[in-house]
This record gives sequence, C-alpha cells and structure tokens, in this order.
Amino acid sequence: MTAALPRDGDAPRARAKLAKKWTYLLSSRAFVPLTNRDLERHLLGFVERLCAGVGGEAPAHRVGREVGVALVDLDCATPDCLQCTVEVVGRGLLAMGGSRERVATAVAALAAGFVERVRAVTLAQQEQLGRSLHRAMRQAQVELEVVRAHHDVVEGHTSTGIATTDPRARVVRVNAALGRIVDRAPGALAGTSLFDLAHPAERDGIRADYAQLTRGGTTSITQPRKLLRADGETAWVTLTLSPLRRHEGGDRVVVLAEDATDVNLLQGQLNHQALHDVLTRLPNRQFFTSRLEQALRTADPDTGVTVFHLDLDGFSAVTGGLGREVGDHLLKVAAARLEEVVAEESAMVARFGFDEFAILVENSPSTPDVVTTARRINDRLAEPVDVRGGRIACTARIGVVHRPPRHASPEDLLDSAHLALRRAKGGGRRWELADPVRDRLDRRVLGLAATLPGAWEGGEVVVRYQPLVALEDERLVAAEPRLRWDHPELGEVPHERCFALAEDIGLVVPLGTWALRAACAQARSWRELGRDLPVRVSLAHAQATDPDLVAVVRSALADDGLPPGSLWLGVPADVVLGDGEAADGLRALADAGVGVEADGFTAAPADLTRVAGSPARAVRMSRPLTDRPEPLVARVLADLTAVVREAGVGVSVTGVATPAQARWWRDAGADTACGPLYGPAGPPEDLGPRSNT
Amino acid sequence: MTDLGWVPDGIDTNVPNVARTYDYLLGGAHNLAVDRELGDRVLDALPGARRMARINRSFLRRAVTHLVASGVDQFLDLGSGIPTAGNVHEVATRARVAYVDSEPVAVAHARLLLADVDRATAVQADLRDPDDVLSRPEVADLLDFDRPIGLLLLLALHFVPDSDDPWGVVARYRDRLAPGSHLVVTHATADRRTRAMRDVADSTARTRERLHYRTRAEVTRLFAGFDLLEPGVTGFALWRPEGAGDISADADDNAVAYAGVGVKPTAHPTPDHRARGTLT
Ligand SMILES: C[S@@+](CC[C@H](N)C(=O)[O-])C[C@H]1O[C@@H](n2cnc3c(N)ncnc32)[C@H](O)[C@@H]1O
Repeated sequence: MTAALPRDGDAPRARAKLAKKWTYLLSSRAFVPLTNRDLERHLLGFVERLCAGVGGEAPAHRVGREVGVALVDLDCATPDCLQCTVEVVGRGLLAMGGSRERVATAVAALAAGFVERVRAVTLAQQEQLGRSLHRAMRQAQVELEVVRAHHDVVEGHTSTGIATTDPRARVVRVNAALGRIVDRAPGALAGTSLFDLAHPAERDGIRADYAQLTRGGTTSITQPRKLLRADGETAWVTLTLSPLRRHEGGDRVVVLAEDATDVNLLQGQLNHQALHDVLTRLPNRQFFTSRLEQALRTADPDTGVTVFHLDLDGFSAVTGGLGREVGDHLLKVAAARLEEVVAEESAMVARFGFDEFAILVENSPSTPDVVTTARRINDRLAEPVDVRGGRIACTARIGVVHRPPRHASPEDLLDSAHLALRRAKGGGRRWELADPVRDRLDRRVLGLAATLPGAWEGGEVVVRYQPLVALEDERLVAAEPRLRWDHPELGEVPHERCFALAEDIGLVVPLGTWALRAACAQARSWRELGRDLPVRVSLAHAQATDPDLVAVVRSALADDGLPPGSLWLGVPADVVLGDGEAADGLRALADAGVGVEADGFTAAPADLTRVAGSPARAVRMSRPLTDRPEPLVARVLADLTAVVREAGVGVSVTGVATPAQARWWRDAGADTACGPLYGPAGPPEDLGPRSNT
Repeated sequence: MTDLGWVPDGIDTNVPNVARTYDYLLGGAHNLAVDRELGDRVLDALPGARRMARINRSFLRRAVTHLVASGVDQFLDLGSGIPTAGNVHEVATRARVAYVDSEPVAVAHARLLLADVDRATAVQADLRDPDDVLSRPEVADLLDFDRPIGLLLLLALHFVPDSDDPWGVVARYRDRLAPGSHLVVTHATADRRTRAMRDVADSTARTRERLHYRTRAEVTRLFAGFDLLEPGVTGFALWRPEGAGDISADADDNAVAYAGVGVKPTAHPTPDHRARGTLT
C-alpha cells in the first residue's frame, strides 16, 4: 500500500486528512457503534484502497464496490451517509490528483455497492422481523394454552360461579360452582338464557347491563343481584359482567357470580368490629371520622355541626387506685351517660382512646347552645357512681369545635378539638372553644417541644427573677426564678410555656432541678454582695413528687452553703396537703428550715381542714381577681383567708396587676404578693443590693 | 372458550410500536409500514429525531465503556428495544448481559440474535415490576447480585407514568444491587424544544406507551441512593462526549434527553437482605 497517486509527495498526510473529514461527517449522520478513532482507522483503510484503485494498482470498480459494502457493514447505511461519502471522497480523490474518469468509476461503484448492500441488509432484517413476529405469536399462543389450562383448573375448583355467554345472554359455558349456586346441573345450564336464571325482579336490570356491554362498553359491571334457585329460593350473589372482545367468533360476556349470602353476614360482623370499641360498644375514632366527614358535607349550613372532644379527669388515678374493673365500669357508665345527654339530637358518641370520648352533634334549630351542652355533659358525668362500696364522680375537660366551615377536613377539625381540650386542661377550665389563631400557635409550640432540650443545652433558656413583696409595705421579701427561652425566631417563650413544653417531652424534672440550682446559686451571689434575699422556687408536679427531691434540695443548699431559710419552695397544693411520701419528704425539708408553701390553693373545704396539719407555712391563691370583686366572692375570699391565717398559715397571692387589687388583698388579710404591679421578671441585678433602697 | 382469535398486545401488526419505530429512526429495517408512518410523524414534529436516537446510542456506548473500565462485567438492560448496532454485549465484549423488554417482538428478535451467545439473554417482562424481573430464572441465573451490576434504563423510564412511581421502581432495583453497581439513565424531557416535544408525544399517543417527559430535577431524583458521577445529570450528548459523532451542532438536540450515571456507594445500607438472599 504505497502512495497511489505518484504526483503527490504528501500523500499519507492528505489521505489521513480525508479520512478524518469523512469520519467527522459520517459520525454526525449515523450511529456508528465505534469510537471516532476506530471509525477513522477503518475509513483510512478505505481511503487507501480507493487511492489504490484510482492510482491503477487495483480495479477501481471493484475497490469502489467493496468500500460501498463495507460502509454499510459499519452501519453507515443512511442516504445521508452515501451523500456525504460521495461528496467528500469524490472531491478528496480528485484533489489528490486522481483522474476524473477513474475517480468517477470508483465513486459510482461505491454507490452501487452501498445500495446493493443496504438492500440485502434491509431484506434480511425484514425477514428477521417476520420470523420474530411469528415467534412472538407462537410464544403468545403457547402462553395462552397454559393460561387456558390454568383457567380450566381454576374454573373447576373455585367457589365463584363462572359462565360465558354470547351477547344475548345465552350461556355457552358454565362451571360447577355456578351450578351449585343456582342449584342446577351445569350440563342443564348450557344453552339457557342468563335472564331466566335471574330473579324476576332483576331481569330488567341485567338486561340493561347486557345492552350497555354490547353497545361497546369496555368496563365490567358489578352489582349485588338475586338469582333464582331450582328449589324456588333466592340466591344472593355479587354479579360481575365483563365484555370479551374477540377478533373472530363474535364477542362474549364473562359472568362471575360470587355467593353473597354468607359474605353479607360476615361482612356485617367484621364491619362492626372494625368500627366499634369493644368495651363501651361505641363507635371508634375511625367510624367517627368518616361520619364526621359526611356530616360536614350534608349538614344544614344554617346550623352546622359541633364536635366535643372529652377527656375524663384523673381517670388513670381511678384505675390505678381502684383497679381495672372499676375503671371499665366507669367508662361504660360514662359512655351511656354521654349518649343520654345527646339523646334528643342527631348525634354520635364515640370512644377515641383510653379515657377520651368525642361527640358529634348535627345541629338543628332546637339544639341547645354549646354552653348548655357542655354543662349538661359535666353535670351528668358528675353524678356519683357506686363502685365497690364507695362513690366516685367523674369530671371531664372538653374541647369544642362549633360550626366549622363545611370544607374543613375531619382530621384538622379533630386536631383543633384536641388542642382546645389541651387548653382547657392547661387553663384549668371545664371546656374551651377551638380558636384557629391559638391552634396555629399551639401547633407551632408543640413542634417547639422537640427543640427545647437542644435550646436548653445551647444556653437559650435563661433564669429571670420576679419580685415577691410584702403587701403591708411593698418591701421585697423574696425573688422568684422564672425561666425564659429566648427563641431565635419566636422571641421569648415564657416560664409556664417552657414547663408545659418540658412536660410534653418528659423534661420537667431535669429542667426544674436546673432552675432550682440556678436560683440557689443566685441567692448565694446576693449573699456575697451582702443582700440576704431568699429565693422562692415553684416546683412542677412531677418535680414535687420526684423521690429524689429531698436529696436534690439538700445538695443544692450544701453546694452553695445556703441556710435552709434562704430557700422557699412553692409546691402544688395536692402534693403538700396530701399524705403521700412526697408530703413526708416536704415535711422533713420544712423541719430543716426550708420554707414550704402550697401553690394553687383552691380553698376547697377538704384542703382547708388539711392545711393546718401540713408542712406548708403559707398558701398561695392563684385566683384571678378583678379590681372590684363581686361582693359575694369578696366575702368568701376574706373568710377563707381568715380561716387559713387562723391556722397559723400565711397567704400569698399572684397576678396582682393594679394598686386596687393589692389594696383589696391586703385588707382581706393576705401577706405577700407578686404580679405585674411589682415589675416584671428581670435579670438578677435588678433585685440585687442596688434596688434594696 | 377455546376459540379465541386473540392477538397479544404488541404483535398486532396494525398498531405501531415503540421498539420498531425507534429502530426505524436509527436507520434499521426491523419495522413495518405502520411503524415507519409513526416514525415519519415524529420526524415531522422533531426533525432532529434521528440525531436524538443516534446521540442516545453513542451515550450508551460511552457509558457502557466507562462501566467496563470501572470493573463492571454484568449488565441488566431494561427497555432494551430491538437489538441494533452497538448492543451492550457487543460494546462490553466479555460481560454477561440480560436484556429486558416488554415488547414480544423485540424480545423474540433479541433471542434470534443471541441464539449463539451464551453470556447474553433476553426476557420479556415489564420493568415496572422489579420483583418479577429479578426473579426470572434467565436473569437470576445469569447475573450475580452479590457483585456490581450495570443497570441500564435508556430512553425507557419516560414510558412509565408518575402514577407507576418510576422513582420507587428504580429504588427497588437499587435495594437489590450490590455496592459498586451503576445506574445509567437517559430520559426524554421537554425542558428544551417544549413545543416540538409535545407534538412528538401527541403523535405517539396511538402506541401503547405514552411519553412522560420529566424535568432535570425529576430525573436527578431517580439517582436517590446513588452517587452521581461527573458531570451529573446533563443533556445526553454532553455526558463525557468523545468526538463529533457524540454531539450535535444544535445545542437543543443535545438536551432533548437527560443522561446520568451513578454508582451505589459501598456504605449504602441494603435494607432488603432477605430478598437478596433468595437470589443467591
Ligand atoms: C426508545 S426504546 C429504547 C431502546 C434502548 N434502551 C436504547 O436506548 O437504545 C424504549 C424501549 O422500552 C421498552 N419499554 C417501554 N416500557 C417498558 C416497560 N414497562 N417494560 C419493559 N420495557 C419497556 C419499549 O418496548 C422499547 O423497546
């Protein structure tokens, strides 16, 4: 393979250039399963052979033909490929000095070889395609046979009745199960009309279904239907009619008949179990939710619906103390009573969870208002129940969603009811109306709980101090630590909220302990500055009943070298006035000199009698008060205060906002107070030695 | 019911089908008049359609070559189509290859072609059902799922509607693959040439498979659980092009389909040990 064209000393370079250009053009016109480099190598070979042909070393027409064939075999087989080849090769060979005549011969032969090869390849591929089609068809037929064999087995053994009919409902084929369902021999069924097997009342309906299918319907029709048994009885079935369109032999209808007699019975039972609470036999949450969804849509827009979500108070205490049986009994009684309360209404009572119930009322013009219904619920529940020699009364907290918009989703609605219920509990109220604005806030705050531990560790939770003064002369007598979470986005999260969040995630005790220690350390700092200011730390319920409380308090005092009198503890009244272990521990602390006070004192008669014997040296009333209390309330409060004081116990009040309130409490006999009137909680410096003037 | 004159889907020679039409666009002759008619309509809407088919096959060659160089020696080619020039087993000349397509003709054809090749097989199955595909004896016996596999989904997933959750489908294959396995995807998009691509979709509405174009982000999501190789998900011509034939002079041609290659990382937990165990 030497230079084909003698005149050109740069022949190899020129050939390489031609091959490169040819490669470029071909590869952008056809898919060649080669890298460009490999393609170029092949084409360079072609160029060299063509040059040989043009240069007279080989017959130009033969070389041309061969290259044309080879091109197609490289998959450069499109018309485009031929066109660009003729152009680039023809010109290239001429430029390299080939004679016009020989170049023309070579290129013409190339085109002929190309076309011949393309034809052959196309025919081969078409033939292959034909064979593939045939094979695929054969394969499909084999599969069909298998399916048919399967089908026969299934048909013979299934309990579903199966028949094939022609478009006029004449039975072509039928299985044994269908015979059993209609109580006839399968052989006797062939040739009969499906319409004759139908219960007379159903014939028109089935006829209409057939008409629909034969008119070109493509989807199956499934209906509960009645068939006629040979013995004259009715067979209940679920009948499915499916069209079967065929290329040959006319269309068919496939009939499936499932015996529905047993199914109907079973289904009813299953439904009931799936949708009802076993103990109370009330609908469950799922049932309630779907009913709610429906009611929202269908309720009279003028009256709407109302949803009550109830939680029985302290119910776990009942079951814990009196046993499961008593608890179950109470739940059943509560369920029955709730149903009574709404007996006049179109309503559903459901049990949601352990001690949670819900009521859906589809309001009518005569439905009592929400206040009345909520009161009736509580009144009815409050009637004592006889249990094992004793009597127990229930109370409930209720979250209410009243007349939600009809497009509200049941889930959102129940969520709102639940949030309102939480608020009722948190605020110590019997019931609370859902409030979209507060809901949004609450939802956000619930999400917050999860981030509290991180924030606490990260130093976002700080301790502030609020003054506690003697009502007599407004002298500062103690400082109360208050937590504040400086949330980077939501701003300040106040003390109560911090603890409520901590409650949600079981963080109350560690957080409370931390606050207690911080307060003790602060008291010591003040002492070091010459200011003897006690700290009054309110304990959360979980903290007050924590078995480690005494040890924690002792070590906090010891670590900071504080005299016990510098620490006052505000303890939930039910704990400190109770007679559990927690009260004993508190007594020990009180005996050691720690100031123990009862928080949230309700002044219920029982509490009043217990206050005298308790370790508490003072009680704190948290009753909100207006500037001018009703005369009756005023008198009762004054009397109460007197009783407490008589027992040698001090009285403290919170939430004092105006001088009038302060004056009123002072006259009623209270000793100390805190509240907005005496300034907000601030950094410790605010209460330090400087302000002692 | 023994007299059914029934023609299986895809063998009906009066209905064009995707595999044969694609073959036509690639310049093959494994097609019928109905397919060529459809191909011509596609060409009317998108004159660059032939280039698109070509660019896709070039990408296939580059990607498979890359995988072979990375040590992958077994391939599962889903939606493999009618075998044409440059099939996977021809590019990866030592690898074992399982071709899967739902079209009976494409599969019958592949079987003819592979009659003498014992390291490659063709299966008729629906790629949307990974459990079925992976439990076929042809696949399970040929491929070793404890070692890396190249999973190819070239111009195939756009036939899977969102309602069939292509992402979930890919994830189910992924969970069965050993670390070091690769996912190779090309997927048509209407992010460019939106009008023309819509017209193509309309013209193919007559076939059984409809086209579901997806955005780059949606295609990228297919690679969840894989580490994308450079240059990520790009126009299919722009994935490591090597020469003139790999790309088109027209920028939009280069991006009518997205391409990407990802590798399943070694640390990736394989949640479904149990299922993998049944294959070994
Ligand atoms: C455009 S071709 C692509 C062929 C080849 N993968 C390529 O990129 O060159 C698409 C192929 O996917 C196949 N296909 C479409 N949906 C499928 C499915 N659900 N299961 C299996 N194959 C499918 C079609 O039959 C067709 O052969």
